[in-house]
Amino acid sequence: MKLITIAFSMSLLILSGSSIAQAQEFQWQAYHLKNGVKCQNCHGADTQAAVKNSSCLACHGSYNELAQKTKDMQQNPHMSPHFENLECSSCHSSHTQLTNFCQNCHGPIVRDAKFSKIK
Amino acid sequence: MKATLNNVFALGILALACQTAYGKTIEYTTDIAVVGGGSVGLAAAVTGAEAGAKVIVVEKNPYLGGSSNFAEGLFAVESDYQRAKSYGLTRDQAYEHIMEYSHFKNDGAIEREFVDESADNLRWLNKHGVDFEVVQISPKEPETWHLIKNREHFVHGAALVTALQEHAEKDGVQFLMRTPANTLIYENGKVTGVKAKDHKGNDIVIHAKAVIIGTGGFGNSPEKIDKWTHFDGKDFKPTLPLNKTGDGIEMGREIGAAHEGETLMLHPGTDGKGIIPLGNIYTMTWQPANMWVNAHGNRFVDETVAFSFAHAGNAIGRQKGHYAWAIFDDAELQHAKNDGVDNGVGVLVPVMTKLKNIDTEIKNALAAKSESFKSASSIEQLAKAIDVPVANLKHAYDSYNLAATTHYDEAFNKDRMWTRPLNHGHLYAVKLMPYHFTSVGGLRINTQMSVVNTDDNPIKGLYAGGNDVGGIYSDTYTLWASGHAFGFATYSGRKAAQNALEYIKTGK
Repeated sequence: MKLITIAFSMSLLILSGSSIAQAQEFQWQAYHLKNGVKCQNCHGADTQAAVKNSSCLACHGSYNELAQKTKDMQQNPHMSPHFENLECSSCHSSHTQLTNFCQNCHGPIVRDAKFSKIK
Repeated sequence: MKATLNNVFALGILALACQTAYGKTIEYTTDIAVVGGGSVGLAAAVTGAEAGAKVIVVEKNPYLGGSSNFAEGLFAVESDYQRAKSYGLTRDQAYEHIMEYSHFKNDGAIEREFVDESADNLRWLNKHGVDFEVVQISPKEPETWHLIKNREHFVHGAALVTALQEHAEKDGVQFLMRTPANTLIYENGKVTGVKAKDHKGNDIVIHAKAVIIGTGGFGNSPEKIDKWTHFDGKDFKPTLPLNKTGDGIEMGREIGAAHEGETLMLHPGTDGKGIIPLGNIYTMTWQPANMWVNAHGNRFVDETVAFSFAHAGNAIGRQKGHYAWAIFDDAELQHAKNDGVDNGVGVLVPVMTKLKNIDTEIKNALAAKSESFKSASSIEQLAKAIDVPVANLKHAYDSYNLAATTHYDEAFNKDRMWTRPLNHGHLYAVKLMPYHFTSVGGLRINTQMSVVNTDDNPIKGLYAGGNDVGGIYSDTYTLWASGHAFGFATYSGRKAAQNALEYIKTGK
């Protein structure tokens, strides 16, 4: 019985604990979960599978539409003159903090916090 | 109750299995596997897919194109674009000059075919939505540089990369992004696929009838620069962080491929506190009318070498400490600001660009006490600021100004057009260092782009192109044939795919 209890709590930990605990730490993932977007909505059945751009764009619209939302930025990351269909997760890694991939060459790129959905 | 618990238990195990499924193996089967989604890989993929082959491309970066996104023009001779300008350089003349330039250390047969087919290569690209404008890269090179015209919002090489990418996507080419290949599958004397690892840690195994390598060289690996070239990977730095670590060359060498000619496509540049990459101060490192001195305070070259970036990189690279200083005065500064620069940094900063921010950049660099930018009101002060012997620098400076007045540079025979006195207002010095756009050299190939072993026998099923192959250059990039690397990358990718298709069909 004790074994079952351990297994039970382990299951809980694995099913909810690890992903949600991480999600609380990693705000973008939490934002997804809060809005009813579950792990498998992006990853499909296999959480170890890489998230394809098509999964992101299915909800978020095309790169062109996204470019409209970030047109205030001096270097609009959704309208790159260098790359077409840059992997979304190069910036929006979701499980970690948002990074700006363009910074690798273009130096620090900051955006006013008023644009963020995460307060 | 127990049943529920058991279910939960089973579910828990399942969840555990899902969440810790590292090292899962995902297998694919295809006709052609392409390693690297740059211009070699994309040209190969489109060529293969258009002929009906199933193609999978593995790319380690989160974007396609690699350094081709930032390159600007392609070499060709007897092209339609040259014809339209009544430009008369012939294939034979270009071939002879390239061989001479390379001291016959390159492969004459590969070069001959490349030059002969270079115009056709542009026609093929043209058919795939890439347009060009032919220009001279500088007064020292012929008009062979076919600049890629911008397409939609894509600039420079990205216009070519995205055009091919869109064709490949339409033709059903499968791209596995952020999936660095690591091993060739080599059985019974044949390459039958490639192994990779995706960024989630899954093992990817692609069974293929042929593999084409185009990973863009090893410019971002200081270790490999140390190991494979005579350059110091610490002092000879890559221009851009593109993650090119010689994977394709390494994989080929592991199964016995021969290799040759590993070196770097050098160019001058600078970096340091308060200096913006490719900014206005940076652009001054490419100007021909500056005076250059080394760590001893001596001039060492006709500074118009700045027009030919590969040569300029050599000249700077061989100085003590692998650096030099470019010195200019307020008159040159005003010239760059008001008349526009004499030499472009490719077309990233086009010739005639007016350096409108130079005053601000200089102010910032000096305020930041930049180690790479100094200013002084006399040559003696400047000598102290850049830490060179005062007497030497003064001698170099006086002789240079005399040459500017007499219109004859006895020391280095610099053309009087670019020898202007540096005696107006302040003096400035920007540190010159050698950088590289890419490495060149690598796997030894034949005219079919087949990778060969140390007996010069083709390794069946293995092809390579672009900056992963050797036999194309000597010790220095052939800037005379401007656009050679980009031209060859697309050409060799297509050629590799054509021969891979033939091999798949006939076994030969």
